Amino acid sequence: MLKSIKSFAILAVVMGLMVGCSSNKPAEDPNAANAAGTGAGVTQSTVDVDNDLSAVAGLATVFYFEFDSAVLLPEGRAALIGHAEFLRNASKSVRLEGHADERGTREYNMALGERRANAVRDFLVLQGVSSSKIETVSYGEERPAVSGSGESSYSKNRRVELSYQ
Amino acid sequence: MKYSWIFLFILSLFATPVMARLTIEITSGVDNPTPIAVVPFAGSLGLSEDIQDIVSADLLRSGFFRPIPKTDMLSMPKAEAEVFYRDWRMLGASYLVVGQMTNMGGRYQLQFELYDVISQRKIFQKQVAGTDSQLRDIAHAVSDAVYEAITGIRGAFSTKILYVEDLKQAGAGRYRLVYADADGARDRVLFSSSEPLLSPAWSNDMSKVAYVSFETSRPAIFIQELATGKRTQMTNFQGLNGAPAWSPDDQSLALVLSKDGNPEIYTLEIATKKLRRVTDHFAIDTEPNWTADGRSLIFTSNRGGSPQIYQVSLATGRVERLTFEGDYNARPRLSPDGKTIIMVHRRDGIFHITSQDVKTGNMRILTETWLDESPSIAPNGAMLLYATQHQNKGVLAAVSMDAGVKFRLPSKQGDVREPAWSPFSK
Amino acid sequence: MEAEKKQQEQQRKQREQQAFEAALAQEQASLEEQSYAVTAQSYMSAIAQRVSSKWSRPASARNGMQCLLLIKLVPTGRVVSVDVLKGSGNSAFDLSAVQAVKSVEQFDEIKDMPREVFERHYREFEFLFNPQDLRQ
Repeated sequence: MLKSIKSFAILAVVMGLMVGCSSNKPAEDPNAANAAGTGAGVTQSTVDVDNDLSAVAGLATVFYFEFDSAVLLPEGRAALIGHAEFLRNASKSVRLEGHADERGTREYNMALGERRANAVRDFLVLQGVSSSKIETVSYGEERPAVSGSGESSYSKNRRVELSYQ
Repeated sequence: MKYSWIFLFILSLFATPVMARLTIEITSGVDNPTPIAVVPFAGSLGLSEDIQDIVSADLLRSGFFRPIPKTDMLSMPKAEAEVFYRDWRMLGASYLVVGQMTNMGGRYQLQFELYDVISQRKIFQKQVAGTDSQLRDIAHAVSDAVYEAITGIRGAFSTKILYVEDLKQAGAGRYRLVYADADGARDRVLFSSSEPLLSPAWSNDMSKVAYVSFETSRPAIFIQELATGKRTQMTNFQGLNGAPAWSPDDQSLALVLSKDGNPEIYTLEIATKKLRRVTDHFAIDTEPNWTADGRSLIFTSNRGGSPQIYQVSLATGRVERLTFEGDYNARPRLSPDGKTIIMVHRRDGIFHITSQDVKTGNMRILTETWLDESPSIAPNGAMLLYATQHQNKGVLAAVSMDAGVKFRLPSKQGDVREPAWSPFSK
Repeated sequence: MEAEKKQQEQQRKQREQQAFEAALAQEQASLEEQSYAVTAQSYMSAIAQRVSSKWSRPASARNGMQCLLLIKLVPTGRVVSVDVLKGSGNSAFDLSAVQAVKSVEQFDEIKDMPREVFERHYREFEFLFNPQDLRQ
């Protein structure tokens, strides 16, 4: 019951973002990014990308979640908006790896990891990033960031890792 | 009037003691294991395996027996003529196993006998034969025969297990899919990878294994033939490719794909690769397990807000919720008789293996260790293996289906998890 | 006429007296039987407990299974024979019941039982194995 209320709340937040997003930046961004990607030569684009990556170097690339939840926490939002800004204009693509803590069953956690990766993907897409630039994969609980039992370890393992390809 | 009243009174009193024999009702028993003496088999000294030791260990692990140490034995009979029941009764043995091994040109033949010490009678005499490399199989065959004769349940000591090992060191062989005897012996690696492996599942004919491998940097389902080692990639869809489960006829796999946006359960016909979607819900649907008739699947879904067990009919697609107790019930497995569902259940933040009676819905906690998961039931339905944590390491443990018996399998290097108990070999 | 009537009355009283005495004797006997039965009952729980403690049930045993045994003892309490009167349908279950009684071998409490009680109730008696503490 509580959970469904929560997901409604999230839906409302996402809707709000969507509105804000479309009013701030029209849909030109994905096209611009595509044009840059296809038009530029290989070497040239590499140079561009290098420059660009330093622009996102300070941003967080790991985003955390609560137990049995795929709801993005507010503290990750600023960094994701930064990544989205970069991705809209760059030819780089990004891989989102979803993870779960070791509690609960493995295949359920696999699904949960995917939900978390999808939550980050959806956020980026709402920020105007083309979904074709985003690859998601879930590792479930198979690849913990830290080992050990206890909430201090678990909270570091319930995460999505973002990496540029 | 007065006399006749007395007369009636007397009649009714006389009626009771003469007619009925006294009956004493016994409503409880003990879970004390039955003492059994397994005498070292004549002619088995110096073999590469200690048969008596293997049989005793099997019987001990079943929880139903307490093998008597051989150092306590007063005599070492090898045949009926040498059995003195009184000696064994003095030791407290209820049953006695004796036998004789003959080496027939590299082939070993064991003749063994089971005795009921209390009733002083021979229960059976049997023979089993094999090569030097099959000495452990010979021992397990003895355990199976003894167990079945006394408990009335087919023994599962000759069956096999699969599990996943994580050496926890980055490198080519970090994750290993291991095949071993039910007692953990004779383990061999079926496949290893630098990327995660999970969800191993036996085909019902025991000739193949299905599992999930991340070797392509994404999850994919593979089938591997045990005899040849030949591997076939069965799925390569966008998103999840997980939780394979063989249909009772081994013609199809139930599995989980998220290619359509949500984790849904599908069936995949192995020969034709024909895919059929079974569930359709925006929630997580995963961990399918077939019912014995092959007509429906039980699975985990959080469509009600928390993970619970559901059943779906393959013919109609009708979904029915099966669990209602607690807010985390997942990875269901049906017992061989179909009467019990075993699952992972969370209570007060702790993960247990529980059983639920299909008919009454009554739930019972079977394990109270730490982070218990991946239960797999023995083909005789008497025990289950599961993964748990011990001293910060993943280990395998076993528990009897009535929770009376518990033990841990000896652990090796790294984390051991996801046990899968084989069916009976046909 | 008068004497005849008196004699009849006498006979009637006599018959009544006889019947009363017979009834009294019977009542006395029945009271004895009753007290034997009560004494016999006082031994039941000790005997049941002894068997319970020896009864290791096989894993296939379930609530609802019942096995009725006929036990024969000698006055020392030694078990002479154990027979299955009505089996449960599960041979391992029945075997475990027989083994439980046979492993007791000797019911020591029988030794100091009054002889009449033994003869009436324990020379031959039944055990009903009816587990209530197992799974369905």
